[in-house]
Amino acid sequence: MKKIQILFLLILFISTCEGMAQQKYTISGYIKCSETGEALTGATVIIKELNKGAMANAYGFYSITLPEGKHSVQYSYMGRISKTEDIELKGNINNNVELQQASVEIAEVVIVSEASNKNIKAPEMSVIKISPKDVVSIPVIFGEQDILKTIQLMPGVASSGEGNSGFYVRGGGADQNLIILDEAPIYSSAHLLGFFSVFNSDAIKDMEFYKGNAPANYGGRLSSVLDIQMKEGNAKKVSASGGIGLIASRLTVEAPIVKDKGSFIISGRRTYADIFLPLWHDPAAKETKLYFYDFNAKANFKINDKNRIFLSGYFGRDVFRMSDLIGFNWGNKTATLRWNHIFGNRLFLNSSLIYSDYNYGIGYNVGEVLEVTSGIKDYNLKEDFQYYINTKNTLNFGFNAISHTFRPGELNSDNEEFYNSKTIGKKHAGENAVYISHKFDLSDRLKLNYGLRYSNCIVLGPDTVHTYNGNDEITSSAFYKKGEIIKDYGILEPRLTLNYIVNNKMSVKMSYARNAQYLHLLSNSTVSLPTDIWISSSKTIKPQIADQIALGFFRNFKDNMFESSIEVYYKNFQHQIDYQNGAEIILNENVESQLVFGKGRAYGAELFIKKRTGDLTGWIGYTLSRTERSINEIDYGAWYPVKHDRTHDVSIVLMYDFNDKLKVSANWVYNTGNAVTFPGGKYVIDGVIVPAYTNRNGYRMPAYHRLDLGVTLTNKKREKFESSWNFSIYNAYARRNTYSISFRENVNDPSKTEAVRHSLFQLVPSITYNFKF
Amino acid sequence: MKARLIFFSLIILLTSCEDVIEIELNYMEPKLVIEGVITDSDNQCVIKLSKTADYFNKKTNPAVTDAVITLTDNKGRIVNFTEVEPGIYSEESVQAKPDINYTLTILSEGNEYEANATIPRKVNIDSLTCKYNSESIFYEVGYVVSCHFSDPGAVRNFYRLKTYNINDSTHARSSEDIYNDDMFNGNKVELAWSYDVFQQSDTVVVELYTLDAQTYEYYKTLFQISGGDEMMSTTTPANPNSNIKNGALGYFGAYTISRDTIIISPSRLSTTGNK
Repeated sequence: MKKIQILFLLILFISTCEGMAQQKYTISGYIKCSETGEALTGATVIIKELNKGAMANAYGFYSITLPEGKHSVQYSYMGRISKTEDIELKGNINNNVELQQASVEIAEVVIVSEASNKNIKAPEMSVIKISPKDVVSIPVIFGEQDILKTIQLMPGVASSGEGNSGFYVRGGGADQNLIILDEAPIYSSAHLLGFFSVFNSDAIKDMEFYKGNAPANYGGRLSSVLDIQMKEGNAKKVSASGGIGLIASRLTVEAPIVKDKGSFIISGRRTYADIFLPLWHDPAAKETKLYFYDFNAKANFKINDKNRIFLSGYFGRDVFRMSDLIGFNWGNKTATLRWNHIFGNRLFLNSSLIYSDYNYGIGYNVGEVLEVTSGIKDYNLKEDFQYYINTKNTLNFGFNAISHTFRPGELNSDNEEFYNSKTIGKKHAGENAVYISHKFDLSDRLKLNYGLRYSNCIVLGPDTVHTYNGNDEITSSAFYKKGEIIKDYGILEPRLTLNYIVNNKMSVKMSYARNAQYLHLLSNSTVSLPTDIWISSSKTIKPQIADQIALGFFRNFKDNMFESSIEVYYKNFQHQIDYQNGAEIILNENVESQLVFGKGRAYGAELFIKKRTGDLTGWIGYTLSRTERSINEIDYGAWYPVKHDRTHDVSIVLMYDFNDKLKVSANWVYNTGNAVTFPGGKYVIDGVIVPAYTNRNGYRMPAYHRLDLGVTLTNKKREKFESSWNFSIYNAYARRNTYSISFRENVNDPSKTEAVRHSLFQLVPSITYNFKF
Repeated sequence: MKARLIFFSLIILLTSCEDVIEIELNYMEPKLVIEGVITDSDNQCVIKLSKTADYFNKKTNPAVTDAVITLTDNKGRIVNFTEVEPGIYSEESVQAKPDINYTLTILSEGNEYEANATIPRKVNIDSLTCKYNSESIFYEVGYVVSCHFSDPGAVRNFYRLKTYNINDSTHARSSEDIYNDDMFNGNKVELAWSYDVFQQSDTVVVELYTLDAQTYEYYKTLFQISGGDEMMSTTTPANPNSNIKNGALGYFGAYTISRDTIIISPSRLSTTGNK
């Protein structure tokens, strides 16, 4: 009770911080795209004389409170023609605006407008915002503009490399990234082998990526937030776009339900990587299936000026099957129902009801058919309020309640005579949070965004809970009934970002954030497997906590043609999970006995330079960092680098626009190899040579680097039809990047041992035909 | 669970490239390796002592001589070991029995090492059968030998299976076929090592080892880092979990052996479990 009272008083206090006695009125409304009716997230509203402005939220809604009288209000959005309206303010006004796409010639000019130094002025830091419409920014890989691939080309974000899904942000693990698609959490963000993300870029409108210091409305994962908004669908006319390619094909169809009031979008994609398999020498390849598909759908309807509803869903699946013997499949499915409501003209509410399910199945036929399945299911209710008090103050507050059901593992055997079926009981936990944050302009130069999030995790029965001693033996057991509370954790997460604007070209930012994470991904391998298991915090497993502090210096050059920044960060991790030697994770009722816990730390510097305009565009990113852990049971608590610690990480992305028809792109990446454990000596047991190991992760794999090239040929634009061809090559100079290193006895001379490197992909071509109408 | 097997199959499929590379490894101080086994067969207990050598060194590991080794059972009976060859210590008069806790003490170069082990109750092979495999992705053409036995439901059992041609006993040394009875506790079990096939008229020996829990744990973690040709480890490598105290490598294992032989012929074909 006390907390709610404080919240209430805070809201009341801040909303009376208006100051002047002069009468004020509010202009509010939606800013949309004039061609399709899509909301323009982040569009700006500026009143130059007063040096005041506001930004449209994720739904295109803006609200700006000004003194009564005449004002010249300018609406702008990157790549579009700005609109200036003279408004006489005598009362509250509802003003919806549509902005037109600029033609290429005008686009050059528009880009150098006020909106273009957003990176200097915005109070957020360590955040990357990309919209697929921002065509100049994204290179094409495998015929698609993959947003997830693009963020991995940014400093501070390390890709997990070929054959692996997942990415690492500022040293955080692959399970420490919160990925949400239209508010629904996505548990596995990449399709097979990490070549494609689960997001079909044709269906995506906007994406915001925070490197660890997201504002208080986000929580649940330590290292990053990737918030992806799907397109709403063309509300003016039917349109379609898609591509047919060597590896994947996709199609998106959008149309209005009622013109300008409602629309829908359906998008699908399928790959057929198995088409390449016969090229490999292995005869086994002929009977193998390897493909994935995904499907996005969304519909929205505007009931009236104050109410709008959205229904969106995602379904994706990966399938791998090796003749009749082995198969596995996994995927996410989500559904979100949302309702936007505007109270008055300054309070915006988004209410969401969300369902998310991630599961996998492994089947194998060894005479008997065995099937192992596992998964996690969520039901989630979220309320997010945005209160646009005045141009200096915005308040965000709300709550989030998630009910998680974990299925840690089920084994079904079709022949009970030999193998017993086994089920590890479902586990339940509730994850809830309440938050408030305040965006406050202390002065024209000093902007503040601070907030507090209180989150908790309640682990519920029915379940039998054991505690273990150092030898994995059970020391106590307790049975809990359905709904009985097994364990309850509550954590306060303060967030703060400060921006000091030195001048139009330069700013200094500082941020601090504490994040708590109650879900953990168990993965006892050096490569990521989709069969890794999600579990909840419990009596034995404490929530992970990270504190991150960052400092950055931002500078634009040559009239915002160049953007540059340097950021340094330090991160402290608590309750990190690692595994005992020989840990058994799969189908183990006592999996908690296999875990060991400790602390971690990460620190680094990120350099970034981007050229935004001209025929040549692109960026260079460089990260110097260190991430390490200390766990009592491993090397007696000595600090050791984590597997994905990358001392150097370089990304160079270049795009050259020859003319209307020809565009070329190249990206080159380089990173220090993963930290690995190599033997220091050898000995013999039972006639077989055994490696002897010393420190955990004391060595490095060879460095990874690769060049990708792409060419896009745009066909002559016909009246309603656009098309282009894209040719690209992955790993153009065929470098044998190390996937893993193993040690073995020499085939010809067993007394000799050798190190063997396994590499995956070299020179993978792709041809795609893209179209749009 | 052989989840790793699935992943290997995918990676083997896609590994278009494999090559031998040069790696520089740091010097590691040689460590003592103790390979000790006590079984119910042959009334013999053999302990081998050696030191680790540099990884890429072609020479064999140096033997450790002049150690003092004793074996004590829980009734206080002590047996002393004699060094029969450099680094190999054995004792002939050990009458090892199940359910007795044996303590091995080793004194070498001024350091003392100790380990405990208990021989488990023996599980015998009931019968052997063979099955013909026609060509498939994993298996070659030939006969696969299966071993049948009954798993005692009251205790947790651990097994190791060695299947080999009577003329080729060294090949089976590296057999990694180990099991715990979680999936078939109390059932009649059929186990087969499918990666070795035999031809008609071959005489095949099958050995079913019943292991004590620590020995199973050691083998499990040992096989994750060694043995096999294409051992591409995905788990973070570390030295195997050993029951030897005070930092030596190796183990003190305890197990029983049940041995049976079968001559491959179509009349010994298995009729159960065939799909």
